[in-house]
Amino acid sequence: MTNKQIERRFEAIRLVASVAIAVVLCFIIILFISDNPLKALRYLVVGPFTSLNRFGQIIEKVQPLLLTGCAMNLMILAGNFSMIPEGCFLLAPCLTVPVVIINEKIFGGLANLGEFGRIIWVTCSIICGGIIGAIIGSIPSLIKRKWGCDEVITSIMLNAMIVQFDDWMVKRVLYDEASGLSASKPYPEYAKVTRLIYGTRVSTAIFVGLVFCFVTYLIVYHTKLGFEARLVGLNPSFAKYSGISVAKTGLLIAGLAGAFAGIGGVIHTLGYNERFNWVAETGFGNDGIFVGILAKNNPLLLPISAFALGYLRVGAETMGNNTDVPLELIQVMTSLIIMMLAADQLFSGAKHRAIVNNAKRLEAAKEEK
Amino acid sequence: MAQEVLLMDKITKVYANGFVANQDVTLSVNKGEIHALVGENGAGKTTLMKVLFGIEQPEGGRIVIDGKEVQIHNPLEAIQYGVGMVHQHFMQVPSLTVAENMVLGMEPKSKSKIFLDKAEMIRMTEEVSKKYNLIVDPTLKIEDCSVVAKQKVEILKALIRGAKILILDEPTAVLTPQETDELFVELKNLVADGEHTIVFISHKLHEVKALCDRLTVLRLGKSVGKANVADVTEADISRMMVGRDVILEIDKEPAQPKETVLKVEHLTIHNDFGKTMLNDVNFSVRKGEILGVAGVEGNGQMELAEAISGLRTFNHGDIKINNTSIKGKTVRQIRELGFSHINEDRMTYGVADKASVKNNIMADRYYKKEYLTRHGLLDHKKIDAEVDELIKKFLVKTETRDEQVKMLSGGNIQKVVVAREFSSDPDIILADQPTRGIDVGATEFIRNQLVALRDEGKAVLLISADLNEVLEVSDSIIVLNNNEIAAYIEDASKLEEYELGEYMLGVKQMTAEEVAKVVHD
Ligand SMILES: Nc1ncnc2c1ncn2[C@@H]1O[C@H](COP(=O)(O)OP(=O)(O)OP(=O)(O)O)[C@@H](O)[C@H]1O
Ligand SMILES: [Mg+2]
Repeated sequence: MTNKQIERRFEAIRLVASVAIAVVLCFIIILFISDNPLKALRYLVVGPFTSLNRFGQIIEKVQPLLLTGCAMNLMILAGNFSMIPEGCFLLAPCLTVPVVIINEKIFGGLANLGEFGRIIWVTCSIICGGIIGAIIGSIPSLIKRKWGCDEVITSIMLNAMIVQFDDWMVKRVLYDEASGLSASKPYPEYAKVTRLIYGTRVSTAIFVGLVFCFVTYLIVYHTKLGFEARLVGLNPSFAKYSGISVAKTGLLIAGLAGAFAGIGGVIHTLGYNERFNWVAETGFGNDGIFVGILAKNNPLLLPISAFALGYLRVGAETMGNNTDVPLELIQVMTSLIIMMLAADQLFSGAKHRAIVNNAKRLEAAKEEK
Repeated sequence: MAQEVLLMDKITKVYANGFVANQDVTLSVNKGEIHALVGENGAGKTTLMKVLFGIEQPEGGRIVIDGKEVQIHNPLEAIQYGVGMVHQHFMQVPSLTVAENMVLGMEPKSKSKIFLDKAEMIRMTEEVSKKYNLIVDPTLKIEDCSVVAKQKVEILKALIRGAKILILDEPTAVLTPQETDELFVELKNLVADGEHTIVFISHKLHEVKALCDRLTVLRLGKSVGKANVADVTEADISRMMVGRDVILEIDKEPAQPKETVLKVEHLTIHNDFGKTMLNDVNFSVRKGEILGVAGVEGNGQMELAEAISGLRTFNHGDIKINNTSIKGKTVRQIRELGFSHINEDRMTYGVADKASVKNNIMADRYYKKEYLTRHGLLDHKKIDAEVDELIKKFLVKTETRDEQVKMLSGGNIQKVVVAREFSSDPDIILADQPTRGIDVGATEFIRNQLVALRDEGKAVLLISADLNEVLEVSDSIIVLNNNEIAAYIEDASKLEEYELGEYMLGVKQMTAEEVAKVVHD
């Protein structure tokens, strides 16, 4: 057996065990709180699969996470810990989508084109969202280059401003008096992303997300830019010495990540919302970090890690809605499970022993020969 | 009868990836001696010392200190047993001062017990610094220190913690001969009291001869021999290490220089504090010759290398490669003029230690057409084939091409650098300390490669603090002193080591006309 095989086996064991441990811990907590712990646990674990609606909710959560996950994946690889994808996710739709709502006269014609009109509009808004995201995404890196401010700080500040901007847009500019909600007028039918499952908000956005995971994988492992980004992320001095432009790479990656997050925002609201009503952080940007790390920064694993997070959240919500477990506890438990999943060192001792034994065996075999 | 102060008995260490770095290694050290631990790159010397210092846990074997069997789980425990280690790669916080680094983890507190007592830190540093005669400036930040100063700080760090058994992992790799001599005097002083004991790791066998009492040889993770240093010659030691005879004398034909490739004209460089590091320096390097640069560290070698490689801008003068000025050019543009470069700082500039061997080797060329598919994507098949070939050609000891570089031994890391820089078909190679910290076998290999490249008609600029290396490998030599070229020796084979030393220390100086001969058209 090779060491790679041992490592893979332990990785699998670790994953299963950490989930099991988390479930046991949760169960212990529930035991103290709930009058009917078994029922609560059942809702948590099986709940998400008990109805099409709930299963749909998982996918609804996965949709936006895929793109913000890709964005964060790129950022982290390039050693850039900017939080700006959240801002791009918020701002891109806020600037793109209302165009149809305001200018129904111009775009109304698209309605007559049927499916074709939808494709044109959605494609256009993806492109616009991407451009806006790219611009916003690169601002922290530009500022860093010009004035040396840390990207983490500028991005958080920018995000705060973007939230306020969205709020102002929704409440002052797009505000639909007729509805009485703090939201825009409803999106016209032709401007929406096609829903796939009746009764849920699962839409073709999921495919867009999957495609982008693959695109991100291609970028990271098969393009020059991805190669540069990885080296810059690991050792910028070395990258510079080898002839890679550190600043340019950082900027391109930030722009690309911003674009992905922007596209994510646009496609999410068009598939999920009836009207534009985002006035607070969505959290998808920050969850993107978690999903990215859980996927070990491998874009191809993002769908799995995003599904895991979505499943957890829906399970917790189902439990919260149907039992006496308070909603606050859900947050605690989700965090607990997330922490267990991230516990890299679980079983490292046993793994090391297995590897040592294996090495000794190989050594003995060599000597016999 | 000498008293055994340290016994490492049948130590076995298997790394997390299954690599057996030590197998039943036995090391016995007597009180008050300087004991050499020698072996090729990757033989497991550092690993064994990490086990002793508690950084790595052994899978088997026992450690006996002062007759008592001990378990060392971490460096703090090691220090309690009087073991101190000076690491091969510096372990310092660059943004803190020398004094702060010295007392890290044992900081003196002011009376209020809240604030750090900076004055006391400086006093403590000065005290040990004086006591052991290793002079450093306590208020300087580490990032502004020369390599030598950093090395001294490392040794002092161990001593200030009361180390009785001092492990020195290649402490001289970064020192000039004079500094090495000076350090040796101090080390001998240190053990003269009979209290201190030193385990000394070095690839420079003449140092082992000059300094050590006994030695232990490691090969491929096993201890294969020990000896009294007085009873063996350098050749004996290398034979024990490598298992064959090693010839460090290079057998080379006289150079046949052709046209000029690198031309440095009136180059003047000020460092970040405005100090002049190079003053109106002129020289040229021709195809088919190796020009050595000798000089005490800090005479502008670093700035010269940085300027030529595009890592530093310069205001006055010019540098031309193949008749094209590199002023304002990016590193990549300079490399594309036919330049390649072994940087003196291996871990910062030479490699990305968390990247794979493959990615490190490809770092300067991944973007070129021949490594891309028709669609402009990286052609991994082709890349893998080339990387495998280079790993083989340059004798890099690694399990696979996807291994992280930090898993390799110091010498093998340097081979990764060399594999990249020598294989890009350059016209001029800047080799800045190319064999620093490398075993005799690999040193022989790299030096011979340099000569082979010269014979292929490439130009080589060799900067080295190792006088032996400069004399042995170069065809001609320039000496930097006082930030100027103090001498140009056209035929290096006619130069004696002491004469070179005189130029380096400024005792002797050539006239401007003599020095001007180094400029060829
Ligand atoms: N953390 C690690 N994981 C896996 N293998 C390692 C690790 N550290 C070192 N090795 C391997 O163990 C072997 C011994 O390494 P070590 O650093 O002890 O060599 P060394 O004798 O000090 O060599 P050098 O003279 O080049 O410094 C090397 O082949 C190296 O690749
Ligand atoms: Mg070593």
